Amino acid sequence: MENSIIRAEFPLLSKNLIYFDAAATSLKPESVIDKEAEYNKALGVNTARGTGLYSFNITNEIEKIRDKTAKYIGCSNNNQIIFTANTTDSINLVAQSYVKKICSKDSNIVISNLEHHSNYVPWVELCKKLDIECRIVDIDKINNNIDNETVITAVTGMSNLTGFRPDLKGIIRKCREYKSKIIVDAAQLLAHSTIDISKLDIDFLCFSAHKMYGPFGLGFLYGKEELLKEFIPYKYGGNMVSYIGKDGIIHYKDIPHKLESGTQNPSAIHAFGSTLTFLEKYDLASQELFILELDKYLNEGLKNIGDITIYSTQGSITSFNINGVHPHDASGFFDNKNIILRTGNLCASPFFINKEESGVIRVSLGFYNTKEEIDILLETIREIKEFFL
Amino acid sequence: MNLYKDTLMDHFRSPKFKFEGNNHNKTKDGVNPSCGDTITLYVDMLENSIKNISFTGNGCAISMASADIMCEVITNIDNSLEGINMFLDYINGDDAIIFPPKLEVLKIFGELQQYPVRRNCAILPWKTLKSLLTEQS
Repeated sequence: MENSIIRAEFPLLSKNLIYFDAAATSLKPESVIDKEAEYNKALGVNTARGTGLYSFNITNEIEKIRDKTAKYIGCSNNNQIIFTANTTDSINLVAQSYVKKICSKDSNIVISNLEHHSNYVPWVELCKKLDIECRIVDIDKINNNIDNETVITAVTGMSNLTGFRPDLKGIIRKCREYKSKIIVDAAQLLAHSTIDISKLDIDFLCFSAHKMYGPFGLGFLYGKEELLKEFIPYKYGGNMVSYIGKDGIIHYKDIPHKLESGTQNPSAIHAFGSTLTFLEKYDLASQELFILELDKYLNEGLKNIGDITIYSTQGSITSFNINGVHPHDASGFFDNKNIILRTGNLCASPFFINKEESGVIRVSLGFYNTKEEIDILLETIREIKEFFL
Repeated sequence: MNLYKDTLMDHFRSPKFKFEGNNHNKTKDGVNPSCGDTITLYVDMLENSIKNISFTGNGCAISMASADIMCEVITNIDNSLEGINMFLDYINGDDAIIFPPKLEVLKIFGELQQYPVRRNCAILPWKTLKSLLTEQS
């Protein structure tokens, strides 16, 4: 498909800017932006409340979108999709409502050193609180650290720093061997690719709408039904209650609503319906080859410039440093060219422990990017080198 | 880029005060959590006056040059804290600040008023020293 047709979908690209920050948040297509605005302009009522027709219709629509979301990741049962605020919220839900109660004093939790803080801090804090071992290990050594006492293995589906995709099937095999549960942070994976959960024995999968061309403020937790049913909510309040008996006993709804306390984000969910339509229209999986080609072009360009340290394997995310130039000094030069990218530790601090560098420059590509944009980036890098070195 | 004046780059490339002090009686660590820049100050205090100061750290050109310039101008002045506050106010947009002659060099950071995202880079060493001094009093 013509790149110009895709680019026309994104209002922000009509401004004079180059967007290389898909890993932080993807651009939003006009159809999604309009759909979110439509909710507040034309619908506006809250969901799962009242008996009015407006409320009834929007509640039905929300459940249909839950169903579409489940199907998008290859899950046939929409009860296995919990709406949350974001990926971090999803991971905390698993940590606090499930893992916390299955731990004993000898338990351990295994996490990789490539994790985003969202799949790192909740586990470190839980281990601290329960006084159990937290094994933070090199992603390549994760299988060697899973044992009989591992209650859960937390791993990224795609690193937000290097774009690396671990061998999920191999890690899952190891988890099954030792009865460890596995949680996959798929925030980046689903931003750049697709997943078929029916072909992977994953216990929990977490992702965010805003990284996959959708609205902010909406995340998802997929979980195996038998495990989700074991969850004890850690946030209590409205929306989750079935009824309170005259004896005062609180009876909760079944999953997924039992785990969705309080008012949800109906305008974002409404807009996410359009996001899924958008993703189906452009078939994200088929765009991967195009993005890989762009990434190869970028990596070759960086190598030709020289004095560049590249931290990534090939993928849609390339992190690098211009040797001798702090990434934040470089960032102002990118700003001046209206190039939006990310510099710093990228909320992946564990990667930098015991390393000299404290940050990187990250270019994360979307299928709206072009080789011409990469040429401007490479030219800017040459200018930075000339200025500082 | 206007931000990187020659004086600033000179201090970044050839810092005079970037070393671990050996006669200091106070040290203070500072970190800029948003970018990971770190600094350690080694300060030789005599009563309320800074006699000698040096630093070690890891950061961008602006933060490292700012630290080196701070070490050069902040010693043996009547009121170090006042100097720090003048710099912080200036960076945050107060153009009315009139620096005493020794601190006039700080005007090379004036461009940062137009680059709010980089202000914290320059501020880190000053904020760290302010913290050390206010803990003293």
